[in-house]
Amino acid sequence: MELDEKSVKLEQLYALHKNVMLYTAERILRDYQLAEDAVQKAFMKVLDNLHKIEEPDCNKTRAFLVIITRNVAITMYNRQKKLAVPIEEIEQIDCAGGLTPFDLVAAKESVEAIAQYIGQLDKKYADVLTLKFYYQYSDSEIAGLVQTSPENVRVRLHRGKRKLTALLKGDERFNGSQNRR
Amino acid sequence: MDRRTGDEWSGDPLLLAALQRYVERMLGELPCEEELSARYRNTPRLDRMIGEMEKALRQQQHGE
Repeated sequence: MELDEKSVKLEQLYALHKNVMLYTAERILRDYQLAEDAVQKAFMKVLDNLHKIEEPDCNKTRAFLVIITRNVAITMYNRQKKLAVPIEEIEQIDCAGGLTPFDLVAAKESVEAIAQYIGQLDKKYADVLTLKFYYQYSDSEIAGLVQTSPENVRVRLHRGKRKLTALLKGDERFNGSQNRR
Repeated sequence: MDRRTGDEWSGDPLLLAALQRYVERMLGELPCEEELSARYRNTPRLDRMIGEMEKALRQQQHGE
């Protein structure tokens, strides 16, 4: 991507989404100036991935910027409070013979149910799942975007998948009585 | 399974649709742009910081 193209896109993204990014950061940091710093840091992280943003003015891009800003602000908040962010340990998840929980459902209304369950997950899990499977970033790219190590990203992905699977298994629509494929 | 990532969840159409719905819901919970624009009408410090980033990008371009 040409640098000139980059700076035009950056300008567009800033004009379109600055306000929602500021709001997201301010809600976490409770300080306007720190929120501005968080938005700047978020843009610095996005700069390396500008080529992946195809359409500046769309909900997909807006949500991506909200997720990145939220993670930057949470990291700043934790550092301010001197909260240590531990290295998370990996745990195995039950892959059930390669099947995913989504293999076991047929109903279209399941989309809404899964979306609700994703919303119930801790944001750190929902965010890595979203960045990985919706935005299709690699583990190392996600690590850069959410300011953690690739190992932690992999752990969060495992845990997020396990927790989402557990939520779905508690829902009778996902208990294996129907098979989508 | 997505052969590129080796992850059996990658490319699942139901998961993709649910994630799309999840981000729409997330955005729906935020105030509308009109409200946000009124709240953050003047942001000179942030404008300057982002302006400097753009300027650095342009200088990088001319330096190449």
